[in-house]
Amino acid sequence: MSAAKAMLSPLGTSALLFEAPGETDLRSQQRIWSLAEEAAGWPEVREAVPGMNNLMLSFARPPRSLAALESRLREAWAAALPLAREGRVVELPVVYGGEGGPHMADVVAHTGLDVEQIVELHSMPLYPVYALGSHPGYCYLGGMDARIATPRRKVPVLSIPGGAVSIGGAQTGVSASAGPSGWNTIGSTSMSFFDPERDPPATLQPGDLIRFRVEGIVR
Amino acid sequence: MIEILSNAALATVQDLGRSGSLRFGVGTAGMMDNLALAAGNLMLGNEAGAAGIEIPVFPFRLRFDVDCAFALTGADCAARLDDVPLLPWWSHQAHAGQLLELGLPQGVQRASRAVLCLAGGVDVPQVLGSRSTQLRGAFGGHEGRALRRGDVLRAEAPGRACRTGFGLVPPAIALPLALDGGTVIRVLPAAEYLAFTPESRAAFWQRGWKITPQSDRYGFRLEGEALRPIAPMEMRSHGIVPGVIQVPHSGQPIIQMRDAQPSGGYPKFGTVIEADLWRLGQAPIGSRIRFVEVGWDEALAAQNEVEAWLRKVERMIDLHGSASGGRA
Amino acid sequence: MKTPQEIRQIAAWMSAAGLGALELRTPDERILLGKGGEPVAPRATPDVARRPPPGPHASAAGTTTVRAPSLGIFLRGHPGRATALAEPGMRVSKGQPVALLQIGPLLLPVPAPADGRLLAPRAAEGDAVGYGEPLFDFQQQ
Repeated sequence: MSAAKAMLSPLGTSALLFEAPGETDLRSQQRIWSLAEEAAGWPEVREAVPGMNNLMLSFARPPRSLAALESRLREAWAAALPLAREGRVVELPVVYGGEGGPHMADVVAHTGLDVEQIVELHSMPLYPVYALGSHPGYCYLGGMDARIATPRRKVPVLSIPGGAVSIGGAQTGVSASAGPSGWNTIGSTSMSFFDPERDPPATLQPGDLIRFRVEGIVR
Repeated sequence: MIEILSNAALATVQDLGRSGSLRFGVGTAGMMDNLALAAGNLMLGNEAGAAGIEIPVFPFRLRFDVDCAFALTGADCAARLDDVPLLPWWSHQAHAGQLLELGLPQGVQRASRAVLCLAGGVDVPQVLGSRSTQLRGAFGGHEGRALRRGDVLRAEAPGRACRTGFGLVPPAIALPLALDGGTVIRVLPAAEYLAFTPESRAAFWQRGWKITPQSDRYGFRLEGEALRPIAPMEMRSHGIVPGVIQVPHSGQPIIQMRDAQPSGGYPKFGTVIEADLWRLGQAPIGSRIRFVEVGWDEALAAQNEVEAWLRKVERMIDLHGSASGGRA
Repeated sequence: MKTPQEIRQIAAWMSAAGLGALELRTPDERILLGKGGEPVAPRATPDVARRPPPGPHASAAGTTTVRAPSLGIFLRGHPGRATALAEPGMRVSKGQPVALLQIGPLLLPVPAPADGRLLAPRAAEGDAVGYGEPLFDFQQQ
């Protein structure tokens, strides 16, 4: 068991960020889900928002002293058991490269792999949904092969369309709607990820799994 | 009913923000100047969080098709109601057919966004618990988008007999915060603060930063000397809030504003305190701002100060209403 | 005459605005409100009986007075703007705000009593004024 401690830091007086130590893997993320469920019931907490191996607690009312809350959070983490969820498997058809994948060349340049290798490594795994964030319905996925990891872009792009399949650092994800992004877009898919009139409004939830099916590769 | 007569105005319906849906990827949205909304609503006897219209581009014109009390707060934009000049941070009784025109922001402290409140609040459906416009995803507010010429909006209670014809001392004057005559914003250091070089950290506080034209409700892009990390950082995606100051590879900071994503992965230098978000939201494009470092206690005290001001406003408006026995 | 209820309301208002004491003078009476907001016994100074009641400034025929519609701090202009609302010599219409009264965070308009011309101010910027106090000379037209 890693002896490294979790990092706690304030986000102004609006929220507290908890970052678990060690690698981002499914078991650690399942403990984050468990911690989120526990902390969501605390009186200071308005909402518990899981990220990638981390958790943000937005405050209903900021506590006068952070120390007591931080203590309680560390204790809860130490006691947190992995929360296993029965998820659905959702398959997304993706056209890689071409107009829908404008940054494929940057991933090629950074990784030293060719387009076919990148597509194979990207479409092979079953990706668990770790958390939602970024924009309505957007899923942060775990399980991407480290060989195709590519750093976020130096200058974020002002707008990429919904359905854009992208790589940012060691993560991959699909945009649910048009908007700015600092990630490298390698392909496109079509899928409705969010309906504000539905309960819950997001189509996918933590614990679900995504598979990218290769619909085509445009060079 | 009010009819929008201006186009391309980037005006949106906002309330104090949408909370409780961050875990679905839904950010808070909400008024850039939340204080102006709350105060304007209190002037009309509305709930502080009733929806209003945020107007960031001028001139802006609309017509009242019914009698309706309204309050205009935020930027002083030389407003006129049928050619009668209006005082800023003031409430008025509009009559059917009257034209409201907002000109360019002016005044002792030039702000950038006007806030229009209506009797009862702007009547649009609540989506996920809020009437704020969620631009990315296009829901909430008025049809999930900015207002256009021809749009007709309704007030919840246009017929309500509101006390009007009085105003408030603007919070920019009542709660001053300035250094050498310029806008000052208080910042709480964030997780990656110490991962930046000592020179970068010192420069951040000492120098002014310009708000570039590439700034909007999503984020304020600042221009100044690049902030350098001690070593390159690649971060995991994590929750963020409006006010977080991200530093991408370029070293030019971006302050996440009301329409910011609820999560991000760039290093965080600090967070603008919640109590100063309204000040920042009113800083004009092209203006320079300075940052001041504060700790947790100071940030809480600042939040308490803002809340105390609102409570005092509410109390004084209530007393004013009862002391005059309801005389118009 | 102010009713006890009205006096209590004004006292509550004063307290909320942070004013410790106020003297209220109307044509009919003179009331001192002390620090606790409780009315203190009116001082029966001999001057009050002999002094003519406050009325129009009798400088020229046809002039009247713009009076404070409330207690408050007298302001010639809006704090957010550099210019005064109105200057002496200006033509104004009935109801047009010619100055402001500040009570804590609140700003109340001082309206012109009729169509006419605003004349010299009778109070100075920043003065704490009482209900009915003369603020400007005014020539009704």
